[in-house]
Amino acid sequence: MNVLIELSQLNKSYGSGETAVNVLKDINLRVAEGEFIALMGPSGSGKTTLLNLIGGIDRPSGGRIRFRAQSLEALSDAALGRWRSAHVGFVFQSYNLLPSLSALANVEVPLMLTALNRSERLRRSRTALDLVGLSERANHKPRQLSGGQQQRVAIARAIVGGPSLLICDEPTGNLDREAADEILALLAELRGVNGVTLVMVTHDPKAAAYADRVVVLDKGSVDEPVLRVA
Amino acid sequence: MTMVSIYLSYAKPFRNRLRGFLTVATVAMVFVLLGLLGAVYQVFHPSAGSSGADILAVTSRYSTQSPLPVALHDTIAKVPGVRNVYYQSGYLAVYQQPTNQLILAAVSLPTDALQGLSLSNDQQINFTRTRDGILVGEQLAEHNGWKVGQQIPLRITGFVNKEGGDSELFEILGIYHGLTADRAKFDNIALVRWDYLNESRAVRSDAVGLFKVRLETGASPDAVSQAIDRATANSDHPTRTQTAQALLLSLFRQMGDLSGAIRMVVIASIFTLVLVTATSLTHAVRRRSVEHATLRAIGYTRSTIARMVIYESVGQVATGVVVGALLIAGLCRCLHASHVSNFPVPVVNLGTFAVVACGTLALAALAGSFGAAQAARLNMASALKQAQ
Ligand SMILES: Nc1ncnc2c1ncn2[C@@H]1O[C@H](COP(=O)(O)OP(=O)(O)OP(=O)(O)O)[C@@H](O)[C@H]1O
Ligand SMILES: [Mg+2]
Repeated sequence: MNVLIELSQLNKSYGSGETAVNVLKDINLRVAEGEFIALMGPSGSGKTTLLNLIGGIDRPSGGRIRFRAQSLEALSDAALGRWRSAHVGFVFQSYNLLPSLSALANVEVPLMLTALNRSERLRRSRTALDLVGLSERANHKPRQLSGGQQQRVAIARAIVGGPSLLICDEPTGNLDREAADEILALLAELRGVNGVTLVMVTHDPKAAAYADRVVVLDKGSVDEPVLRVA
Repeated sequence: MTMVSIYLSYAKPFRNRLRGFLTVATVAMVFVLLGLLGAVYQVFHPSAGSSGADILAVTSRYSTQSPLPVALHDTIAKVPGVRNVYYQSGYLAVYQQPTNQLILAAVSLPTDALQGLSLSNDQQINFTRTRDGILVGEQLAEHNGWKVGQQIPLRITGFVNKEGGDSELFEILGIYHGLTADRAKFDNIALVRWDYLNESRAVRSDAVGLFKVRLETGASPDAVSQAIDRATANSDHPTRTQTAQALLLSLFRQMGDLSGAIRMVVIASIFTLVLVTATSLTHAVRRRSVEHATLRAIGYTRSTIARMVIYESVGQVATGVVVGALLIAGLCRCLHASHVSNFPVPVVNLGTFAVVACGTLALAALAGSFGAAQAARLNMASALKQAQ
């Protein structure tokens, strides 16, 4: 098994002195290449915080995060940004599309950071939209799309750069059952096609059932491995 | 990286339609003001080569606008070195509609006002014989469709005749154009007789706007000016005498004071604009924190996002500058076509325009930099939390 991510003795606290809140405490976790992990736990247990650390959006207060051979703590802000753009795709609960841009342009946004020319960027963006089944809505603005469709665009945006890691914070949290199932099936399928590694936070046991492994976060530490929901 | 910013910001300047519109409208307004100011300057700036060094202008010491009594004519004529004294008053008149205004110059007889105009000897003599005669500049005649021999009623501002009305009937004796560039300024005014207007009044005013003095050859303008002013110093109407050129310049300087005031207003508007743009942009940046955080997560740097905000600010203001420039061009063309006043084919001084446009854009960038700094300071994790 090739380890993609390794967290060792990871700590995160907010504030300092007496008001300091220790959100994550001595977290140890390994995620294999191509694995699909569901991260569960009560509200306020630190799931989003942990996801932010893994995705390089936030910095730990202590401990180490290794991505393949790379220690994330060692990277500068700018280097961490480049690392995110090269390796990580993000899917958010509220989609976070740019409202002024069309679906296609939204998908193209990450590619604008690459050296690709315009026609190649558009070709790849169309392919990604195709993959999520939305090629017919390429020119629609986000507000002209349903929640499920917006989340598909967001997924296309997350995978268009060919990341090895997909980070999803409650991707189905705003969707009804049917739309949620479609999104989860899509994520599972992407893993099959692209071999991408998935770390997904969810409150929904049915969503967790799509994962290879469920990790439960409670009171600031990961219980690993925990119940395997069938 | 720059291309990235341009691409992303291209859709943005008008995302908030109202805000975008207001910014563009304000900038355009400022530039229209500025353009008109430039055109006004052009019209009234006394041309360097114009004659007038050998002609003295006598006005009231108190103000160039205060009238003088016609009786001063004899006092001035007696001053050594003076060859001829003419006088005139300016009136504003309207023909048919109140908006159709024209300038009437009521001139003394004899007068030097007819020199350099394309009038035949007969026409000039006719003017001295016809009390209610009027001589009309070509542009003005064309504008109103007037012909020689026609009787035209004009309403004269501030004038009351014996019947208590302000309307006088004039007979057109001639239509002229100026034979030199200097005299062409008369092409859209009309000349009437001062004595006729004075005697038609319910109460004679005997008031004169300006005396014009021609000097004897060899007489010193300075010495004669001082002598005239000394001769009137102890009367009820002390005068101020200067060369016609100097008078034009002093009138222009008064205009300059006015345009100075307008310029202050323009500068104040631009600064207000910058403040408004700055605050509205910081609000917009706050509203877009989730978007900016998402872009950061995707890999966009703080500086790229800051630049996007500045492009937005500059983009809006630049649009306003362009719209304003088009408006000035259109407006000046209309004014010119209407022949109402002396508007020249208006070319706003391109240099001034460029300087102000660049200055405004620089200020727009400055205004944008507040929002940009705010966007750059954004904490990704906290901003993303707002979205849920
Ligand atoms: N910027 C911050 N400053 C102080 N405390 C914070 C900050 N961000 C998060 N916390 C605290 O850290 C804890 C974990 O927050 P986090 O958002 O990771 O929880 P979560 O497991 O994602 O919850 P939910 O399921 O509701 O999304 C909470 O108690 C929260 O109050
Ligand atoms: Mg959360």
